[in-house]
Amino acid sequence: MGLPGGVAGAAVCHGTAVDEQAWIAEVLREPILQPCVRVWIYRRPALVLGCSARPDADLAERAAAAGMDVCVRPSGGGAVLAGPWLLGASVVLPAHDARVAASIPASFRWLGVAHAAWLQGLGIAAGAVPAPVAFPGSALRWSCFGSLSHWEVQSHGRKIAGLAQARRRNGVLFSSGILIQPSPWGSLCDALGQPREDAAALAGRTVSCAERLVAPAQAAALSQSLLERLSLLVGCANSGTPG
Amino acid sequence: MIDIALANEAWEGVEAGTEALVEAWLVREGERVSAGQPVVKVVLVKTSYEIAAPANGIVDRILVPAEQTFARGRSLGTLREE
Repeated sequence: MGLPGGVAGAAVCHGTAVDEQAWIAEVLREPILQPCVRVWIYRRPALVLGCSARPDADLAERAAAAGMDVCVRPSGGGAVLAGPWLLGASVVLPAHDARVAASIPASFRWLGVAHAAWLQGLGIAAGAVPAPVAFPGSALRWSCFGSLSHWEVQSHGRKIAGLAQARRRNGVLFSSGILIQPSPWGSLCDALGQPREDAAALAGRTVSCAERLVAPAQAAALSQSLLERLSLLVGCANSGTPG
Repeated sequence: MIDIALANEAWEGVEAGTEALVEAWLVREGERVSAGQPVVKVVLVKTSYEIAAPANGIVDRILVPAEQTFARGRSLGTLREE
């Protein structure tokens, strides 16, 4: 298959979460010699499940009825509803890169701090949390945005960016998802068969760039600035916007 | 016999009481493996982690099967070194 932007360098990709997972699988097929970065603008909704999820036929049926793709990512954590309201980033590093700390929690630090700095540069008060933060109410562990884990990013106590990681013999994938618009939390709950009350709880625990910015949160501009920050940080050439 | 386990360093900074999950075994009991070959995938703190065989040998026993959780320091399986 033709992969958006090939497998090297840095690029913004317009595609689906299914395309993103295909790209990751292809990239990690061979040993990673140089860092590579993709920022994803999602064209259509997709339910992206953590690696330990086992989607059944009911879930697939509900998602299909709602017009969503379903995919399982190689990294851990709860489910995410990808779509035009979310930016995704994939940073793939060589297995022995200095940023891949032995401690799993510590290895998220550089990425969380980079996302917080990027958001601050946009004018959003944001910070990466060094330790998990418990929200009042039920844990909502089934959803990535239901909790704040090590070095994930918040703005005034509400989660704005989630992180995850997959360590493989050939390299290490760091992933992030940033809310640029409010997510349709009800659709996520419905697709996963979770109670509708959880949608209100998720809305209360999260915030998007659009809600924090005065100017409109344009995916194209945000994706380009995030790509520039991440690619500069990991030392990776920008190979353009393949579309 | 050598233990197959998630390195202590990986657990540094993880809150007490947190458990990891065996996502999948990539080998079966009795299978011959090479040092460095990924043998089991586990999940800890939003991270999927491939644990490699610590030596050449034969997987003797799987102690924590797929989809079960485990605490820090727990042996997931044993390897008979060759």
